[in-house]
Amino acid sequence: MYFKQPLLLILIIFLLGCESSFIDVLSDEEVEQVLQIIEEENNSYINNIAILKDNNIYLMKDADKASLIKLTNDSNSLRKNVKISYDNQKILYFEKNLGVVIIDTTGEILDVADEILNAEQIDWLPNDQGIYYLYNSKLNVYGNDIELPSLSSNVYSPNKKVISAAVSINGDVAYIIDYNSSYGQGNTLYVKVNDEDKTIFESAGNPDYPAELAYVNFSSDGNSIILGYQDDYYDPYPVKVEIYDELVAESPIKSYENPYGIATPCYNSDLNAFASGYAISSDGEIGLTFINLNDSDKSFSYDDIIITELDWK
Amino acid sequence: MLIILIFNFKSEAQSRRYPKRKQYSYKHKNHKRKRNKSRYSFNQKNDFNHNISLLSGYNFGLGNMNTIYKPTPGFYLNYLYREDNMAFGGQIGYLNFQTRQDTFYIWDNGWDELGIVQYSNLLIIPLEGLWRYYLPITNQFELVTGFGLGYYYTKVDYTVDIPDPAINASYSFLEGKGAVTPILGFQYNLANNVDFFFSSKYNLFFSLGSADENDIEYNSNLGQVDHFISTNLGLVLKF
Repeated sequence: MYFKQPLLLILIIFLLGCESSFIDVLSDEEVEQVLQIIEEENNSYINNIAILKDNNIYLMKDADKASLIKLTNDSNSLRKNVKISYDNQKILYFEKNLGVVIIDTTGEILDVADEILNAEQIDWLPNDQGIYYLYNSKLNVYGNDIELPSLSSNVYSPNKKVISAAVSINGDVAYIIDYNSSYGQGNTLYVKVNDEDKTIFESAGNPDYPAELAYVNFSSDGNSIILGYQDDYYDPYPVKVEIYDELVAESPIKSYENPYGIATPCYNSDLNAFASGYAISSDGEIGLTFINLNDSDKSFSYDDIIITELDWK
Repeated sequence: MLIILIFNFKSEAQSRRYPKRKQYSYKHKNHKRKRNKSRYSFNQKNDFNHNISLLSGYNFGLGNMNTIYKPTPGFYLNYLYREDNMAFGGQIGYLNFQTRQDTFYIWDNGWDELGIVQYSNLLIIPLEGLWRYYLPITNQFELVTGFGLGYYYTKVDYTVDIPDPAINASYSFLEGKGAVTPILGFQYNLANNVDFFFSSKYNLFFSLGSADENDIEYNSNLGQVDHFISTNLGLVLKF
């Protein structure tokens, strides 16, 4: 009879390896954990917004204000041009008297590019392989040997100047040339696609709108163009933003206006969502706004987070 | 002559006190005593071949069953036919597990809300064939081990409401399941034909049927296994 007992044991062990007929429900402790995960996921439709606020760099992990963390120590040197990398792991910013500082998402300084003395516009190269910056009407590269297209134009004016330029994640280049000639003042947008010196989008400002074209950038996936218009060249922020899809659209897919200014507009065409600083009043206070064009439930504005700039990829 | 007579008298007296048939060798007598002792023990425990027990106790679910159901009281009635240290028999029981809470929750990656599951009570009526082995420790106390092979009649209803894919459905299961139930316990002799019995029983029950979808015995639950522990005590009536 004893020889049957090992067989019984083997049978029991085998049967224990099978699944239960009862649903694997959550314990009370697991319910608490899952509710937290759901809340985080519900907020994660937007994530990793790099913010310049009170001359410090912050990272907002998701839509929850509580996820805002400060990454830098206070400094008396002016900081600007905060940009987060495409992989959301690094943030760069320009600091006066220091150069371009690259930090990770914990605030640790990874690199300081002290040869960059000034930058009118700056951002990460495709695949985060270095950075590009606009200075003195030229696109320069740091941390990479690639050569970007020249910012050429068919404008003949001794006063022409590149006032904004951007490189997309696909390597396309868009730039705005401002000029003042005997024919009058104007600005033109050029877009060069696939390294070809081919202009596919050209506009002498927007004839329907008196403001001047002053700012260009790509969406994070490189498929859309964001344009900013200013009432006055010396305004700190655009007062109107247009988004053009597929780089060839004849009319914008979305347009935002705010007479007090729209700071650092960002657009993600995959999510069809827009993020920017948004002037709350004429005194120049900029709140944070996020607009999901597909789902208004996933849109928010925080007037109590007063920022200077933001970047979202 | 007198001495011889006295000797003979003693021999006569000895012969009367110890009949010849009792005059076995020392070794033989010792063997007989041992046998009698064994028979004495046997008379205490095993003169009664028929044992009927009424048991009650608590049953504790294990695994998912423990998450859903509270420990519940249970009742068993069994009959065992005992020969020496072994017994065979059968048992019927009644268990009705109550849920720990009205609503349970489930979740999968990507769900933006919890899924809801509601279970009814779990009714189990176990029918078992029993085999037991008794290990006497003293005249009154013996350890009991063994196992049962059972057919567990189970009844449970539940509803599921999950978001992705959106399912809101009710299910009702009335299923006879196979069971293997090893036990370990002890039995204590209280009176001539009454024992006190305590055991801890491990219940492993599983779906029966065929995995072949074309088979009439096909059971989609095949391969599902659950288990619980029963601790029972009660009286054994022997006759």
